[in-house]
Amino acid sequence: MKEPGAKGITKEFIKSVTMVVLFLSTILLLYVFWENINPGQMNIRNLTEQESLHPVMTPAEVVAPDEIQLSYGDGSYGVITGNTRAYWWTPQDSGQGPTFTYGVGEFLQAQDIFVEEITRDQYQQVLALESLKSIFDDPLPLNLLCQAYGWDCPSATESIQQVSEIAYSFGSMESLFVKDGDRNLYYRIIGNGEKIEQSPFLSLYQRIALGSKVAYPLTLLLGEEEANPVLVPLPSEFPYVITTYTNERAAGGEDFEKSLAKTFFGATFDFTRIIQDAQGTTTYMYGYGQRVLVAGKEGTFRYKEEGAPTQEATLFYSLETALGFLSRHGGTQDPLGKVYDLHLSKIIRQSGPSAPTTFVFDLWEDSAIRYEGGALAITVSGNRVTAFTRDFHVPEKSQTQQFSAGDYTAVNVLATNHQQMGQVLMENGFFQDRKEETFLMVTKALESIRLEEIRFSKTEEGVGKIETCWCFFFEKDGKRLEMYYSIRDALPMGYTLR
Amino acid sequence: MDWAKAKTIIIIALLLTNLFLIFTYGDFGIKDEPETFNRAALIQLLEERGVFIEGDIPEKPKDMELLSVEVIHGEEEDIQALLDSEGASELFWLPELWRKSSFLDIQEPGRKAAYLECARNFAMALGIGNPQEYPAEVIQIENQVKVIFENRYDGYPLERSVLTVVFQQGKITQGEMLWLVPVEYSRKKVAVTDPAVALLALVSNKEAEENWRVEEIRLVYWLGEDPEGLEDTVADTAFPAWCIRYNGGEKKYVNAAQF
Repeated sequence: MKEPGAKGITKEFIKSVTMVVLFLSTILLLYVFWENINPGQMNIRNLTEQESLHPVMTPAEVVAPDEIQLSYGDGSYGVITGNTRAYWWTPQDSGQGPTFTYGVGEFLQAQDIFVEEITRDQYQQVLALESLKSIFDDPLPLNLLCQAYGWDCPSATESIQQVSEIAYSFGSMESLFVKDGDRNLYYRIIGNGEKIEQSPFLSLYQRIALGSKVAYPLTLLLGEEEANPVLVPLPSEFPYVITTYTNERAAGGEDFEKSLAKTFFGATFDFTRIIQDAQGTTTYMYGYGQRVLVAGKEGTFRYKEEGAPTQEATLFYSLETALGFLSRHGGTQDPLGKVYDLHLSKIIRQSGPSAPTTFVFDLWEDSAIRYEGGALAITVSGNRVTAFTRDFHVPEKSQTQQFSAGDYTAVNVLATNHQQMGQVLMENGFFQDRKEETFLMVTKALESIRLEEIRFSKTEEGVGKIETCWCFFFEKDGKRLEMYYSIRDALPMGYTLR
Repeated sequence: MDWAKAKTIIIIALLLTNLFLIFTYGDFGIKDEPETFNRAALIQLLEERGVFIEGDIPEKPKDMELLSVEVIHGEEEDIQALLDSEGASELFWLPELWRKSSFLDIQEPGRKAAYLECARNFAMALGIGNPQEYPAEVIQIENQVKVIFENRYDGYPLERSVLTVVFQQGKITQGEMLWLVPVEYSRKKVAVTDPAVALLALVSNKEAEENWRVEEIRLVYWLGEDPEGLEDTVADTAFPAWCIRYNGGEKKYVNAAQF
């Protein structure tokens, strides 16, 4: 065979290079035509950008009671109103000790469980003994809790629809107690009797006792047995926090807004109409308005999507759908990189088989913050998210100091402001007329008194404050009203009708 | 195996593949699809429903980009300040024209060009770029002469983008500007509907007893129905739309982008 000369080697080299170039250009052409790309607008950033995903939260992670109460059995109580999650649920390997959900799960594993309805008095009597109780301001369906925490809920529990309180009493160790606040019904779930030393509730009780604040019933503080037995926290000292906050658009600028918008419309905003107005609002609209995201000047992001639900879905599945959607659209990370926990604060269900359900969430850190309006609301219709509102805050300056309740204990706030409270309650339809003395009317409607950090609504410029204050919760015929008072001077700071 | 021959065959195959891709999918300004409607049948159908086509029905165009535009509002006080500024008389007045009694007659030779040149000075002072690039129309209404500039992108008018320069007695006395400046176009092109689809959509929105004489149907860039107007808008995205002019200047817009 003839050996190739230098000329032949060069020719073969040129052929090899040509082959590689042609091969690469074929790939490129296929990509360009497949994606229908206008080559003039291509850049390397478009090719390398990928959708960022945040971890998908589970329903178990976002459900937590708003308050945990503990009865010492001697007329005194302990309350936890901050972040209750550590006592309610933790991942199994946390090693912190049993949680409330773990205790309930163990309890429901027993055979031959049955349910009986009890009276309000019976419920209150048994929980006045040594007991612990988790309270949900907005009742949750029992089957949602069963699915979220893997509780083996027997068919006997189907009669219980909503859970506004779930409790365990050492005065009746073979029972769990449930209050359905919506229907004003009380239940006793009877399982097997347990030895006290085996009960996970015992170690939980001890753990809660260490972390709770002392509280006494209003009946005891007023010396009137007929009064509302609502618990009044009486801490001698507590941390007073005041934080100013701004909004995400102000903190993260256009980059943050665009990165969030890209999760809805794609990295290159293909076929997306982008409208900016002089006030600072930007509207992103896909096509002729099938999908719209409005980035408000005050820093709130509102997304809406047209379309009919494709199938019916259970509440649990809808919640999973909402959380999956959140993970694809910014998660709970703020522009500064801080990742918050979520707390499911409200479920708004419209009637009808595939009617939309809105899940409203607050953001929780080490402490829990209560919101005038939620931080996040996700509406699910069938298996699709049709609306999404994100209203996160970004803390700016924060001050914390130990505060002594002094003259402005909850009872003093109540005594000072009961006339104003009565007026607000009347204006909001809690009473028609003043048949009784205002103080009596107000205390009767009281549902709870808490010392909490409240995120007050922001101004039009998108700034606001978070401040520790006294919160008085009123409820009547399913209507809830929260009123806030300064711990510094007992003056009213506003109210929210939920 | 003769590797040298194999390479030659692969090179030829790849070359043919590339050529096939380029000629099949490449955009050479050729119409994407043949006309999908029978023109005569369409006209008959429209006439039966009281829509009479007086102009031409354009052919279905190639795919188009979406257009990001900056919205520039000509504030009244800014325009007035410009007209009152030093040197305004040199740039925005036509004293020779004013001295002639026939200054309003724009049909006289060189008259339109004079108004247009003066209006271009004004347009340039307002910062709309090079006014030579924009088509303009000179019209006379009563004792005013108006020069109306239109903005286009890729040959298509940007609807609502308009600069009107008003002359009275040979000098610019007024200006109205809402100018859309294209700043970016979409990475992907969007398919455009056949004009027949737009005409049929028009028929479906028409009262049965009405008769419409369609004078013109043309493809434009359009910002969509916006009930609040563009008063506060500083940036927007224009989509292709069919603009149908009928019954002596009335206009209807039908979205033309197919997603």
